Amino acid sequence: MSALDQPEVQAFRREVQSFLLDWEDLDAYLRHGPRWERVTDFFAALGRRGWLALSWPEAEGGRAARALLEYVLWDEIAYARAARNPLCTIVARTILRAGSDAQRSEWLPAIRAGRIHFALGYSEPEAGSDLASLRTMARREGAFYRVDGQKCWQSYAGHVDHLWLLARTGEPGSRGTGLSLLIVDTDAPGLTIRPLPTLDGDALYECHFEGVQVPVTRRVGPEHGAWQLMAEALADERHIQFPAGRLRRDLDEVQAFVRSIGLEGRDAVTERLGELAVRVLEAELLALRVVEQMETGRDTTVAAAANKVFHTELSQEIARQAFEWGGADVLVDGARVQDLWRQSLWETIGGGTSEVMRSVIARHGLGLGGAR
Amino acid sequence: MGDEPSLEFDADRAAVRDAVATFCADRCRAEYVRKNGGRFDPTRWRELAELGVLGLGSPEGEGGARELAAACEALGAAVFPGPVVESFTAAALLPSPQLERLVAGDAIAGIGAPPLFSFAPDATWLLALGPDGIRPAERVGPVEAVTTLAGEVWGRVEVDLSEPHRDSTLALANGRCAGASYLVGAASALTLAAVEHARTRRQFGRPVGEFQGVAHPLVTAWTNLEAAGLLVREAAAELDAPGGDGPVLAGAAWLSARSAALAAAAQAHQTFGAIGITLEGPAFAATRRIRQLCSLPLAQRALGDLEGHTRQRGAGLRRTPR
Ligand SMILES: Cc1cc2nc3c(=O)[nH]c(=O)nc-3n(C[C@H](O)[C@H](O)[C@H](O)COP(=O)(O)OP(=O)(O)OC[C@H]3O[C@@H](n4cnc5c(N)ncnc54)[C@H](O)[C@@H]3O)c2cc1C
Repeated sequence: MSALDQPEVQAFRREVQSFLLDWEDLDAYLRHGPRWERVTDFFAALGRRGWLALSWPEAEGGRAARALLEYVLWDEIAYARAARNPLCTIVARTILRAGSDAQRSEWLPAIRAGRIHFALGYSEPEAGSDLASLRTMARREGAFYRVDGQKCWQSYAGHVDHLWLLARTGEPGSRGTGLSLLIVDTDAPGLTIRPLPTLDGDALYECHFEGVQVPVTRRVGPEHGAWQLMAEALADERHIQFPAGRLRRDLDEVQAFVRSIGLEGRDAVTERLGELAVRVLEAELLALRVVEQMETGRDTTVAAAANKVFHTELSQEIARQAFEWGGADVLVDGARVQDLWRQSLWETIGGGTSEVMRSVIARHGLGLGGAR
Repeated sequence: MGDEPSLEFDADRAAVRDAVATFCADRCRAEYVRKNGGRFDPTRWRELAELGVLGLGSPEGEGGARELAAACEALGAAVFPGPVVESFTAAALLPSPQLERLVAGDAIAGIGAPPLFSFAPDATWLLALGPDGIRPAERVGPVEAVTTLAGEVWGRVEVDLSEPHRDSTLALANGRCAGASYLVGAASALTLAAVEHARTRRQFGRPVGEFQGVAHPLVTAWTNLEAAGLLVREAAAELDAPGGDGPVLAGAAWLSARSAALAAAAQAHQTFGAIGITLEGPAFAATRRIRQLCSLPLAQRALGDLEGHTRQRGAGLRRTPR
């Protein structure tokens, strides 16, 4: 029996499925931006059910549920194409780990209710994969930090209430040992946020900081101590980032598409769909392995990197295959297959590129030292 | 969480795998594999039978598909020669007392599509695999022995085919499960050997594994094998659960292991450089066997079965009818 077949897991899955019946029209998994209002309504609805804090400790208003249930939640949401998990939960994980009491009571209730939203201010023009080289400075001036610099590629930054800013509080060149995490209001004076439309019909944003004042009480965790916190908070969330439901839905839609253009039943098409179905099964097991390792207290670094590369590359493979079959129809804007092709293009870049993920596996999984 | 279903082998199955690995470390060393090629060795085969593994997964046998998979993974890692897939396929079909002879290692089966059957000169039973299932094949002429890529001696022979077995689902599933697990074992061991080579072979003043052009393809090979291994264990667990998805998943596992093992074999050759091309070098014993196993006619219909499977499985979990 697979862990997914356990009665309480299936019962929860059915509960999520019936909840999702009200959100069938949302269809925002591939892009949140154009439907931002509805997406936040959706998150608020999740919040009302306690599902944004499913695995948080009970003392913090959570349900202390096992990681597998949280996986199933986001697996079904992905299958339903409703939305991706909101970025505020990674902020919450960090506050849960390292926030002061005042910060817990200020931020956690609003986050778990789905009332406030964050964008992640990490990348910069000169700091992509090599994030530790970032330059945006936060200089301490009494009870404030004064922030100067530029961030880019922030998802949803034009919509949200706050930025979760990774900035340099140490010397230039201090790399991972001189970084801190700050919460910055998106309407703070001196902060300019501009959209960069993306090829999937959504947008990323760039954020310019000119003497933006941030109270020291808005720093989460120790000064200069952000690097380790980031890694820990990321590890708390790895099981929900790439649920196989997305891929199952991709394949379902491609099968429906194949029927709609009359290719169903041709040997070569059946074979290829079968091959992709095998890949989807593999992806699901790789995702579940991250969950299992997490639940048994093991380090998920390698399993999560493997899952990310496999999942994201497979999403591209499925979309490309549909394009190959599609003829000219897929070129018409709005065709789902075209959307899959457009959107999946960024999956192997955002959240750590495939190359970086492979190097993580090479180093930590296979001991191929130096391959950075 | 002792009783939690797991994606890994549990302690009992790991013990089966380790027992077979220990046996292989003694009786199937690299020199033996190189010297023997893939020729059927009745003595070694009986020794293997004495471990009690050959009846695993058969209706009469002791253990189930998970034990079978655990044993075959270790056999693959050692590139143990002989009719492994054939035996696990036949064990689910043969009635007593033939089954006892097979389980004791006194008689073996060959499989194939007429006229070419694996291990035909040594085999007591021949099974023809086709789109309509598995048919017993009766020799009606002399066996013309042929040597094969993996060094196994096969044969061409004229046969009479009987009606297909009434239900060859389990036999096919066990054969696929055994073959898939063997492939994962063989290709994983080969890949780890290639990784070790990349860590120790130095060029341009550093281990070649520090070059991403070397490291990343090994990571890809390894990741695909991990995925295949997960799928083999999942299929085996489902085969052991009454009414599960076992047969379809065993087909998926075979396809998954096949493509992962073939890619890993090619990558290992590339990583070893010229030493990997030598007849007695670190790669060929495994890659010839991987390539050979992958050509067995076990994939029939598997892809067609699968096409609707994820849909179905998803639909089973979803409430909304589609
Ligand atoms: C859709 C999307 C959403 C994003 N959302 C956010 C967000 O919300 N917040 C945020 O801060 N950032 C966000 N990002 C930015 C993302 O984190 C970066 O794009 C990512 O870290 C890669 O950086 P880069 O784009 O500068 O590429 P680079 O790091 O410049 O890489 C360019 C190429 O070089 C390769 N490369 C780089 N270094 C190595 C190496 N050591 N070995 C091998 N290959 C290497 C990369 O793999 C890539 O192929 C988002 C990006 C995308 C596409």
